[in-house]
Amino acid sequence: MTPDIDTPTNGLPSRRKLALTTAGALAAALVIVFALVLPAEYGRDPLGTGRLLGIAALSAPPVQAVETPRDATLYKPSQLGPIGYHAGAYKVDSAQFTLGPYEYVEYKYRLEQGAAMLYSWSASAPVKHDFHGEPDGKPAGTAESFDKNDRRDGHGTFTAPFSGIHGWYWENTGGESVTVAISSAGYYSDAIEIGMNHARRRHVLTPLATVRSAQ
Amino acid sequence: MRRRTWSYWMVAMFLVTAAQLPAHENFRIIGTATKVQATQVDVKTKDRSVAVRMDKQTKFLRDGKKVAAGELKAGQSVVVEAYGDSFEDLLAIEVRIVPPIRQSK
Repeated sequence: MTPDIDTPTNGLPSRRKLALTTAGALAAALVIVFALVLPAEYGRDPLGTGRLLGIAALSAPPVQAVETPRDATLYKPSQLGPIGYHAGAYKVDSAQFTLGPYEYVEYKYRLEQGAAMLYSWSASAPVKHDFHGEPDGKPAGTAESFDKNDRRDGHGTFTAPFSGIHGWYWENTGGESVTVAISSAGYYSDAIEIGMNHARRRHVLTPLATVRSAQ
Repeated sequence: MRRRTWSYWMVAMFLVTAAQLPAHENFRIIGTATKVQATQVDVKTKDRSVAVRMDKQTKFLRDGKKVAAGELKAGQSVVVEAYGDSFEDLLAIEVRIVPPIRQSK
């Protein structure tokens, strides 16, 4: 008498059960391949499970961050086309001045050649105004005017044509007090207020990180 | 040889002396003329009193026009453009007689 092939002998599974189990395992493997492996590893999502489970992004190529140009520093940019690269974040600043009758003040930022800032200032009445720069290495008092017109406000961007201190002269030419307020952001390293009769006062600049943490 | 050493010494002394000379700068004095003399005007500003010398070159202006020195009188509000080392040593370049200023502390 020959033994029945479907009959288990010695506690081993029958051939039929082995075949069923193998087929089940293959089916499960195929489901895993199509539902999980293909979307996650190869970016293919035939069943839509990659999108549903949020695993499709796993197949995206890793981001290779490019380093900032080596000659760029925090304050001196490396110019590549229209972009001036810096080695860190810019700073922000705001200041306000009250000019008594016939008083004046100068407010200047130290910018390296090519470094940029954007600014907005306004006054409570028209003032005599001179936006100018003083280049490093030149005799004291050497200045180049960029805009010398009476104004009540000014808004713009500025890229330093040379390294030095750049900023504004505001003069109250009338008999009533005038308030001037300025806000700016840029790659400047210092801010100096030059008051009447040459009194100099440094202003503390705010790092961008401080602004972000306050938000 | 001795002459050359002497020349170097003279140049060095000149440079040291020049470096110690105070730099003349422009000052603006805003306030009320408290005392007017032919060669000096005393001005009371909001935080000090300043005596400013005047000479023949000093210009006097009112409403943007030149006026005679005699127009300047004690009690008038003035804006003085002066030149010198400090508030203790100033020569007036220009004295503007302006409408009365209300000094605020």
